[in-house]
Amino acid sequence: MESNYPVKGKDQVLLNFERGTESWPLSSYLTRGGYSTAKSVLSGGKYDSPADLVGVVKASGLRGRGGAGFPTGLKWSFLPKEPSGPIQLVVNADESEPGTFKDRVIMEENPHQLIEGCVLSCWAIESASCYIYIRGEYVPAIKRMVAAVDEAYAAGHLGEDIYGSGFTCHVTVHSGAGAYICGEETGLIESLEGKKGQPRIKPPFPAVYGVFGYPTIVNNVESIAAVTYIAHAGADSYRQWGTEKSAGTKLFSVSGPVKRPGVYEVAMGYPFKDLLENECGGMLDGVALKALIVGGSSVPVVNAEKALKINMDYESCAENDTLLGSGGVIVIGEGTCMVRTLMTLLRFYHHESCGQCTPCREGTGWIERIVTRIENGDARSGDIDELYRIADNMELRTICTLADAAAWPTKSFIEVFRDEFEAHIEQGKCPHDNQFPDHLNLRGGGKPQRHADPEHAFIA
Amino acid sequence: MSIDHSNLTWSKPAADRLEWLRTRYPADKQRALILPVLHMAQREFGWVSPSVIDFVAAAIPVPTIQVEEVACFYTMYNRKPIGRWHLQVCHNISCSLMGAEIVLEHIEGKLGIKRGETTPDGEFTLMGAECLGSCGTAPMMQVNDHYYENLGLSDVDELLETLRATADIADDEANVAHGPGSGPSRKLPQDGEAHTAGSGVVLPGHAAGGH
Ligand SMILES: Cc1cc2nc3c(=O)[nH]c(=O)nc-3n(C[C@H](O)[C@H](O)[C@H](O)COP(=O)(O)O)c2cc1C
Ligand code: SF4
Ligand code: FES
Repeated sequence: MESNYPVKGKDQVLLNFERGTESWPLSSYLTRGGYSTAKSVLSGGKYDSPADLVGVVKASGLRGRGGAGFPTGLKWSFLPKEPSGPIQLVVNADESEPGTFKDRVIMEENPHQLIEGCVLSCWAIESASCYIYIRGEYVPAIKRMVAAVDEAYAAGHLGEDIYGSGFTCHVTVHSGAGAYICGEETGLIESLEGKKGQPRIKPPFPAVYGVFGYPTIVNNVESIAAVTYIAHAGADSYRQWGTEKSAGTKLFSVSGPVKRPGVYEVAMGYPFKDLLENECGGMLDGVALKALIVGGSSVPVVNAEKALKINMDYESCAENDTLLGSGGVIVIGEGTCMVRTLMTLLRFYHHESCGQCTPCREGTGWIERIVTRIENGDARSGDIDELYRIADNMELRTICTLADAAAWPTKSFIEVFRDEFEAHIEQGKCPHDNQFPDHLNLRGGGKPQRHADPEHAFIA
Repeated sequence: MSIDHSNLTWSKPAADRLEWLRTRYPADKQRALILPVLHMAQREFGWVSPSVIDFVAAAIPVPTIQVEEVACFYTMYNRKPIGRWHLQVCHNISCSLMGAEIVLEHIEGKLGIKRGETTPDGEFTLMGAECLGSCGTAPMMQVNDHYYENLGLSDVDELLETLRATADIADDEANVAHGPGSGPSRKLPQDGEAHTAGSGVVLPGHAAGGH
C-alpha cells in the first residue's frame, strides 16, 4: 500500500492534468480520454443497466466528499423504485466550510471531468436533469463551469439523445449568493428553489422529496468527479488506494503557516506528518506546530502530538477524536492564541445560523459573546464551564448540524487548550503580547514569510 | 456612478438571458429564477433597491415578498449603494492565522473608515468577509469579482492606488449576463492579463493563475 502514496501524475483520479497548462477546455480533456467513458456507458456497451453502475460505485467504497462521508452508492440506492416525479441530481459546489478550497480546483482546472461525472451519475440514477449549485463568490469557477457546459452541449456530450443513445441529460449552473447554510443539502435545495436557505426537517429525505418536490440526490463536486474515474476504471482500480473503510484518493486543501499551502491529492490513509513535511514543505521557518483542524472548521481541534499520529482517513481521524470532514486541513502554529481563534470561528457560526432553531440561533450568539469576553479580559467566573455547558446543550437538538459544527470546535478547544482559557481569565487579558504570531511580518509592511517562495498555493 | 432606479429596463443581453433562464427550471417552479435574476439585476443596476425588487418580481413574475425575502437573506445582495470598489477582506480562520486583522486595520486606517462603511467620495466600501475559499493564499481579499491573495501591506497600498486611478470600464456582455458578482459590473485593470510574478497582485486561484 505504502508505494501508492502520494498519487502522482496521470494516476491521479481528480487532478489528472498537467500543471500550468490550459487544462480546462474540452480539447484538453479529450486528450486525457475525456467523455470516452460516457460514450461507452450510454451506448450500453459497458454496463448492462444503471443498477450495475450503482453497484460499481457501491463496491468502490466511495464516500461523500462534502463532509459527512456517507457512502455514495448507498445514497443512490435510496431513490424510490417508483419515483413520484423526474429524478434530479444536484451537485453541491457551495464550498463554504472555512479552510476548504478543493472543489474550486476541480471546477477551474478540470471542469469537464465533473460534467462527465454528472452525465454518468445521471445515467446511473436515471435522471435527465442536473443542477450544479456554486457559491456566488466563486466567479472564476462559475465562468469556467458555464463555458465548459456550453462546450459540452455544442459537442453533443450534453442535451437530448446524447450520442444517439436515447439518453437525455441537461446540466444547469446555478449560483448561490453568500450563505454558508446553503452548503447543507436541504438548505441548498430550498435556495435552488428560490427561497431563503433554511434547512428542512428530515425525513422526508431528499431522495424522496428534494428539489421542486422531486426525488433528488445531492452530492459534492469531488464525489461526482470521482464517479467518472470509477465508472471508467472500476471499483478495484479505485480501491488500489486507501484503506478498507476509506477507499480511493482524496483532495486535501492545506492552509496556515506551512511553506507550501495548497490542494493535494493523496491516497486516503496518508500520514498527516508526511503531507505536512513532503507535500507542504513543512512549517514556516521558526514556527512549531501547535494544533490541527484536520477537516474544515467544524471538526474538533487536536494538539500537535495527536496531529502527528493522524492518517488522512475516516478511521484514523475518529481514533484521534476528530473527523476527516471536508478535507480542509488548517494548520495552527505556536504563538497563536486559541481563544482568539475560537472567537473567529464562533463569529462565523453565529453569523451563518439560519435562525430556525432556538439552540442554534441563541446558542451560537451566547458562546460567541462568552469567548469574546474571555479574549478581551472581561471574563466572569465560571465562564469556561458555562461555555462548555451551552455547547453541550446545542448538540443533537437542531434541524441541521450547523449547531453541532459550532459546538464541536468549542468543546474541543476547551478540552485541549483549557489552560489558555484559564490564563486569560487569571490575567484579565490575552496573555499573547503579540496578538499575531511573529512569523507574520505584516506589521513591518511586508508579507507573510512564505510569500517570496512560492507565489501561490500549490496543486499537486 | 449612481444608476437611475426610477425607470428600470434590462439591457439586451440581460433580457435574452432571462428568457433562457426560464427554460432551465420547470415551468411551474419559476420561483427558482429569483437568485439568478437578482444577481443579474445587481450587475445591471448596481444595488438591490426597493424598485429593483419590484422590477425583478414583475419580470419573473413572483410576488414581491418572495424576492424581498431572498434579497434580505443572502449577503451578496447589496441593499444599499456600495462604493465603486467593494473591498471584502476575509477574516475567517485561515486568513486570520496569517494576519487578516492586520490587513483590515491597515485599510481602515488608510481609508479613514471602519468595516461596513463607504468612503465619502464613494470610491471604496470596506467589509470583513467570511471564508472565501482561498485559505491557502491567505491573507486575501475580494475586490468586486476578483480575488487578491498572499497580501502584504505594501501590496494593499499599491492596489488601493491602482484602483483609485482606474477609470470605469464597462464590462463585456458575457459578464453582465453571467450573473453573480459583488457589485456593478466593472473591469479591473488586471483583467485578462497574465499574472506577473512579484507584482504582488495575484489573480484568482492557484498555480495556474490568470483567468
Ligand atoms: C452547515 C453545513 C454546511 C455544509 N456545507 C457543505 C458544502 O459547502 N459542500 C458540500 O459538498 N457539502 C456540505 N455540507 C454537507 C451536505 O449537507 C451534504 O452532506 C453533502 O453535500 C452530500 O454530498 P456527498 O455525499 O457527496 O458528500 C454541509 C453540511 C452542513 C450541515
Ligand atoms: S441548526 Fe442552525 S443553521 Fe441549522 S436549521 Fe437550525 S438554526 Fe438553521
Ligand atoms: S479563511 Fe480566508 S479564504 Fe478561507
